[in-house]
Amino acid sequence: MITEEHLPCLQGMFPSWMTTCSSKGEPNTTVISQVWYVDEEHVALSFQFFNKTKKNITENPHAFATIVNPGTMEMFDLELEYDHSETDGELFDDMDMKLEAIASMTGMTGIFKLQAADIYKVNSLTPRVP
Amino acid sequence: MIPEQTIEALRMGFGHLGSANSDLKTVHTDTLSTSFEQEKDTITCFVLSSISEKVLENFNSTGRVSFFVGLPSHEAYQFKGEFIATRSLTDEELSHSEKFRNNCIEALSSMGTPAEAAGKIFGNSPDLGVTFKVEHIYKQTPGPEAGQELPFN
Repeated sequence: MITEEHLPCLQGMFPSWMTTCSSKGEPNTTVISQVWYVDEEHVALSFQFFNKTKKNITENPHAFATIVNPGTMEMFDLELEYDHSETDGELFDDMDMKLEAIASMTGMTGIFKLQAADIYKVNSLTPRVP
Repeated sequence: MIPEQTIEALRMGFGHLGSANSDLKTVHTDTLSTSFEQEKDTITCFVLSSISEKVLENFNSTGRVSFFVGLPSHEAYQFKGEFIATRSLTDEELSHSEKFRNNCIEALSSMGTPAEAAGKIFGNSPDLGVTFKVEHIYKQTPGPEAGQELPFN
Protein backbone atom coordinates (compact mmCIF):
# COMPACT_ATOMS: atom_id res chain seq x y z
CA MET A 1 0.00 0.00 0.00
CA ILE A 2 2.71 2.49 0.99
CA THR A 3 5.26 2.57 -1.83
CA GLU A 4 8.45 4.46 -2.58
CA GLU A 5 6.32 7.18 -4.17
CA HIS A 6 4.88 8.04 -0.75
CA LEU A 7 8.09 8.04 1.29
CA PRO A 8 8.91 11.75 0.74
CA CYS A 9 5.57 12.52 2.44
CA LEU A 10 6.70 10.65 5.57
CA GLN A 11 9.91 12.51 6.37
CA GLY A 12 8.49 15.47 8.28
CA MET A 13 9.40 18.10 5.69
CA PHE A 14 5.80 19.26 5.39
CA PRO A 15 3.13 18.93 8.08
CA SER A 16 0.33 16.40 7.87
CA TRP A 17 -3.19 16.77 9.21
CA MET A 18 -5.36 14.29 11.01
CA THR A 19 -8.97 13.94 12.09
CA THR A 20 -10.15 11.68 14.89
CA CYS A 21 -13.52 11.33 16.57
CA SER A 22 -14.75 10.74 20.12
CA SER A 23 -17.07 7.89 21.03
CA LYS A 24 -19.87 10.45 21.06
CA GLY A 25 -19.23 11.50 17.44
CA GLU A 26 -17.36 14.76 18.03
CA PRO A 27 -14.63 15.17 15.37
CA ASN A 28 -11.24 16.75 16.11
CA THR A 29 -8.85 17.95 13.42
CA THR A 30 -5.23 18.83 14.05
CA VAL A 31 -1.89 19.28 12.34
CA ILE A 32 0.92 16.86 13.08
CA SER A 33 4.58 17.41 12.36
CA GLN A 34 5.25 13.96 10.95
CA VAL A 35 3.66 10.67 10.01
CA TRP A 36 6.37 8.00 10.26
CA TYR A 37 6.85 5.08 7.90
CA VAL A 38 6.83 1.71 9.66
CA ASP A 39 6.21 -0.76 6.83
CA GLU A 40 4.05 -1.02 3.72
CA GLU A 41 0.88 -1.28 5.78
CA HIS A 42 1.65 0.69 8.93
CA VAL A 43 2.60 4.21 9.97
CA ALA A 44 3.45 5.70 13.37
CA LEU A 45 2.49 8.91 15.12
CA SER A 46 4.21 10.39 18.14
CA PHE A 47 2.35 10.42 21.43
CA GLN A 48 3.71 13.33 23.47
CA PHE A 49 0.75 14.72 25.42
CA PHE A 50 -2.54 13.16 26.44
CA ASN A 51 -4.37 15.49 24.08
CA LYS A 52 -7.74 15.25 22.36
CA THR A 53 -6.34 13.14 19.53
CA LYS A 54 -4.97 10.58 21.99
CA LYS A 55 -8.18 10.60 24.02
CA ASN A 56 -10.25 10.04 20.89
CA ILE A 57 -8.04 7.20 19.70
CA THR A 58 -8.45 5.40 23.02
CA GLU A 59 -12.23 5.62 22.53
CA ASN A 60 -12.42 5.04 18.77
CA PRO A 61 -9.52 3.62 16.71
CA HIS A 62 -10.47 5.19 13.37
CA ALA A 63 -8.55 8.19 12.05
CA PHE A 64 -8.02 9.98 8.77
CA ALA A 65 -4.77 11.69 7.77
CA THR A 66 -3.48 13.63 4.80
CA ILE A 67 0.20 13.57 3.88
CA VAL A 68 1.95 15.86 1.40
CA ASN A 69 4.96 15.33 -0.87
CA PRO A 70 7.05 18.47 -0.14
CA GLY A 71 8.59 18.47 -3.60
CA THR A 72 5.51 18.07 -5.74
CA MET A 73 2.74 19.06 -3.28
CA GLU A 74 0.86 15.91 -4.19
CA MET A 75 -1.49 14.93 -1.38
CA PHE A 76 -2.58 11.47 -0.22
CA ASP A 77 -5.42 10.57 2.13
CA LEU A 78 -4.92 7.70 4.58
CA GLU A 79 -7.69 5.84 6.38
CA LEU A 80 -6.03 4.67 9.60
CA GLU A 81 -6.85 2.34 12.45
CA TYR A 82 -4.92 2.42 15.72
CA ASP A 83 -3.09 -0.86 16.31
CA HIS A 84 -0.73 -0.60 19.30
CA SER A 85 1.85 1.60 21.04
CA GLU A 86 5.59 1.05 21.45
CA THR A 87 7.67 2.59 24.23
CA ASP A 88 11.08 1.27 23.21
CA GLY A 89 12.90 -0.15 20.20
CA GLU A 90 14.44 1.27 17.05
CA LEU A 91 11.38 3.19 15.83
CA PHE A 92 10.77 4.73 19.25
CA ASP A 93 14.43 5.78 19.55
CA ASP A 94 14.43 7.34 16.05
CA MET A 95 11.28 9.31 16.80
CA ASP A 96 12.56 10.39 20.21
CA MET A 97 15.85 11.64 18.74
CA LYS A 98 14.13 13.64 16.01
CA LEU A 99 11.63 15.18 18.44
CA GLU A 100 14.47 16.23 20.74
CA ALA A 101 16.21 17.88 17.80
CA ILE A 102 13.03 19.76 16.83
CA ALA A 103 12.48 20.82 20.45
CA SER A 104 16.05 22.06 20.70
CA MET A 105 15.74 24.08 17.48
CA THR A 106 12.47 25.67 18.59
CA GLY A 107 13.50 26.44 22.16
CA MET A 108 11.11 23.87 23.59
CA THR A 109 13.54 21.37 25.09
CA GLY A 110 11.78 19.32 27.73
CA ILE A 111 8.31 20.20 26.48
CA PHE A 112 8.10 17.71 23.61
CA LYS A 113 8.80 14.41 25.34
CA LEU A 114 7.97 11.26 23.42
CA GLN A 115 5.86 8.92 25.53
CA ALA A 116 5.11 6.33 22.87
CA ALA A 117 5.14 5.56 19.17
CA ASP A 118 1.51 4.90 18.26
CA ILE A 119 1.27 2.43 15.39
CA TYR A 120 -1.64 2.60 12.96
CA LYS A 121 -2.71 0.17 10.24
CA VAL A 122 -3.26 1.89 6.89
CA ASN A 123 -6.63 0.68 5.58
CA SER A 124 -6.52 2.76 2.42
CA LEU A 125 -4.26 5.27 0.71
CA THR A 126 -5.68 7.42 -2.09
CA PRO A 127 -4.35 10.44 -3.94
CA ARG A 128 -6.26 13.66 -3.32
CA VAL A 129 -6.78 15.43 -6.61
CA PRO A 130 -8.53 18.82 -6.44
CA MET B 1 -18.51 36.73 19.97
CA ILE B 2 -15.59 35.20 18.13
CA PRO B 3 -12.48 36.57 19.92
CA GLU B 4 -10.26 39.15 18.23
CA GLN B 5 -7.16 37.05 18.87
CA THR B 6 -8.40 34.42 16.41
CA ILE B 7 -9.22 36.81 13.56
CA GLU B 8 -5.82 36.84 11.87
CA ALA B 9 -5.75 33.05 11.82
CA LEU B 10 -9.27 32.94 10.36
CA ARG B 11 -8.31 35.40 7.64
CA MET B 12 -4.86 34.13 6.71
CA GLY B 13 -4.45 30.68 8.27
CA PHE B 14 -4.15 27.25 6.68
CA GLY B 15 -7.38 25.45 7.53
CA HIS B 16 -8.80 21.95 7.63
CA LEU B 17 -12.45 21.12 8.13
CA GLY B 18 -13.12 17.78 9.83
CA SER B 19 -16.17 15.55 10.15
CA ALA B 20 -17.23 12.07 11.23
CA ASN B 21 -19.96 9.75 10.00
CA SER B 22 -22.39 7.76 12.14
CA ASP B 23 -19.87 4.87 12.25
CA LEU B 24 -17.34 7.26 13.82
CA LYS B 25 -15.09 7.21 10.75
CA THR B 26 -13.57 10.57 9.98
CA VAL B 27 -12.69 12.58 6.90
CA HIS B 28 -11.54 16.16 6.31
CA THR B 29 -11.10 18.69 3.57
CA ASP B 30 -8.90 21.75 3.13
CA THR B 31 -10.10 25.32 3.38
CA LEU B 32 -8.98 28.24 1.26
CA SER B 33 -9.70 30.96 3.84
CA THR B 34 -12.93 31.99 5.55
CA SER B 35 -15.40 34.75 6.19
CA PHE B 36 -17.16 35.14 9.53
CA GLU B 37 -19.80 37.06 11.46
CA GLN B 38 -18.12 37.72 14.78
CA GLU B 39 -21.27 38.69 16.66
CA LYS B 40 -23.31 35.75 15.38
CA ASP B 41 -20.48 33.27 16.08
CA THR B 42 -20.62 31.89 12.56
CA ILE B 43 -17.75 31.01 10.24
CA THR B 44 -17.99 30.21 6.53
CA CYS B 45 -15.12 28.07 5.26
CA PHE B 46 -14.24 28.27 1.57
CA VAL B 47 -13.77 24.80 0.05
CA LEU B 48 -13.46 22.96 -3.23
CA SER B 49 -16.63 20.90 -3.61
CA SER B 50 -14.74 18.34 -5.73
CA ILE B 51 -12.76 17.13 -2.68
CA SER B 52 -15.39 17.81 -0.01
CA GLU B 53 -18.20 15.41 -0.92
CA LYS B 54 -17.78 13.02 2.03
CA VAL B 55 -17.30 15.86 4.50
CA LEU B 56 -20.53 17.48 3.34
CA GLU B 57 -22.36 14.14 3.57
CA ASN B 58 -21.22 13.84 7.17
CA PHE B 59 -22.19 17.42 8.04
CA ASN B 60 -25.66 16.83 6.64
CA SER B 61 -25.93 13.59 8.59
CA THR B 62 -24.38 14.41 12.00
CA GLY B 63 -24.08 18.20 11.99
CA ARG B 64 -20.82 18.20 13.95
CA VAL B 65 -17.93 20.32 12.69
CA SER B 66 -14.30 20.67 13.71
CA PHE B 67 -12.22 23.37 12.06
CA PHE B 68 -8.47 23.69 12.63
CA VAL B 69 -6.74 26.84 11.42
CA GLY B 70 -3.11 27.78 11.89
CA LEU B 71 -0.66 30.51 10.85
CA PRO B 72 2.93 29.92 9.68
CA SER B 73 4.02 31.25 13.12
CA HIS B 74 2.37 28.05 14.53
CA GLU B 75 -0.37 30.09 16.25
CA ALA B 76 -3.40 27.88 15.80
CA TYR B 77 -6.99 27.41 16.94
CA GLN B 78 -9.64 24.76 16.77
CA PHE B 79 -13.29 25.75 16.38
CA LYS B 80 -16.02 23.24 17.09
CA GLY B 81 -19.68 23.65 16.37
CA GLU B 82 -22.80 22.81 14.43
CA PHE B 83 -23.16 22.81 10.65
CA ILE B 84 -25.67 25.35 9.36
CA ALA B 85 -25.65 25.31 5.55
CA THR B 86 -23.64 25.53 2.34
CA ARG B 87 -23.87 28.43 -0.05
CA SER B 88 -22.22 30.08 -3.04
CA LEU B 89 -19.34 32.43 -2.33
CA THR B 90 -19.62 36.17 -2.90
CA ASP B 91 -17.26 38.11 -5.18
CA GLU B 92 -15.69 39.66 -2.09
CA GLU B 93 -15.06 36.22 -0.57
CA LEU B 94 -13.58 34.90 -3.80
CA SER B 95 -11.33 37.94 -4.00
CA HIS B 96 -10.14 37.41 -0.42
CA SER B 97 -9.48 33.73 -1.12
CA GLU B 98 -7.42 34.66 -4.16
CA LYS B 99 -5.28 36.99 -2.04
CA PHE B 100 -4.89 34.28 0.60
CA ARG B 101 -3.97 31.63 -1.98
CA ASN B 102 -1.45 33.90 -3.71
CA ASN B 103 0.20 34.58 -0.34
CA CYS B 104 0.42 30.83 0.29
CA ILE B 105 1.97 30.18 -3.11
CA GLU B 106 4.49 32.99 -2.54
CA ALA B 107 5.34 31.64 0.92
CA LEU B 108 5.87 28.12 -0.40
CA SER B 109 7.89 29.44 -3.35
CA SER B 110 10.15 31.36 -0.97
CA MET B 111 10.91 28.03 0.73
CA GLY B 112 11.90 26.46 -2.57
CA THR B 113 8.62 24.87 -3.66
CA PRO B 114 8.02 25.34 -7.40
CA ALA B 115 5.02 27.63 -7.97
CA GLU B 116 3.46 24.97 -10.18
CA ALA B 117 3.58 22.47 -7.32
CA ALA B 118 2.22 24.98 -4.79
CA GLY B 119 -0.61 25.60 -7.22
CA LYS B 120 -1.77 22.01 -6.76
CA ILE B 121 -2.98 22.97 -3.29
CA PHE B 122 -3.63 26.68 -3.63
CA GLY B 123 -4.14 27.24 -7.35
CA ASN B 124 -7.84 26.41 -7.54
CA SER B 125 -10.52 28.88 -6.57
CA PRO B 126 -13.01 27.57 -3.98
CA ASP B 127 -16.57 27.11 -5.20
CA LEU B 128 -18.52 26.55 -1.99
CA GLY B 129 -19.00 28.10 1.44
CA VAL B 130 -19.61 25.85 4.44
CA THR B 131 -21.14 27.75 7.34
CA PHE B 132 -21.21 26.58 10.93
CA LYS B 133 -22.07 28.01 14.34
CA VAL B 134 -19.12 28.10 16.71
CA GLU B 135 -19.72 26.52 20.13
CA HIS B 136 -16.19 26.04 21.46
CA ILE B 137 -12.73 27.39 20.60
CA TYR B 138 -9.48 25.77 21.71
CA LYS B 139 -5.90 26.98 21.51
CA GLN B 140 -3.83 24.70 19.31
CA THR B 141 -0.53 26.55 19.29
CA PRO B 142 2.10 23.92 20.17
CA GLY B 143 3.15 24.07 23.81
CA PRO B 144 1.78 23.73 27.32
CA GLU B 145 -1.38 25.75 26.59
CA ALA B 146 -2.45 23.65 23.61
CA GLY B 147 -5.94 22.33 24.17
CA GLN B 148 -7.04 25.10 26.51
CA GLU B 149 -10.51 26.40 25.77
CA LEU B 150 -10.79 30.09 24.89
CA PRO B 151 -13.59 31.83 26.72
CA PHE B 152 -16.03 33.57 24.42
CA ASN B 153 -19.64 34.84 24.45
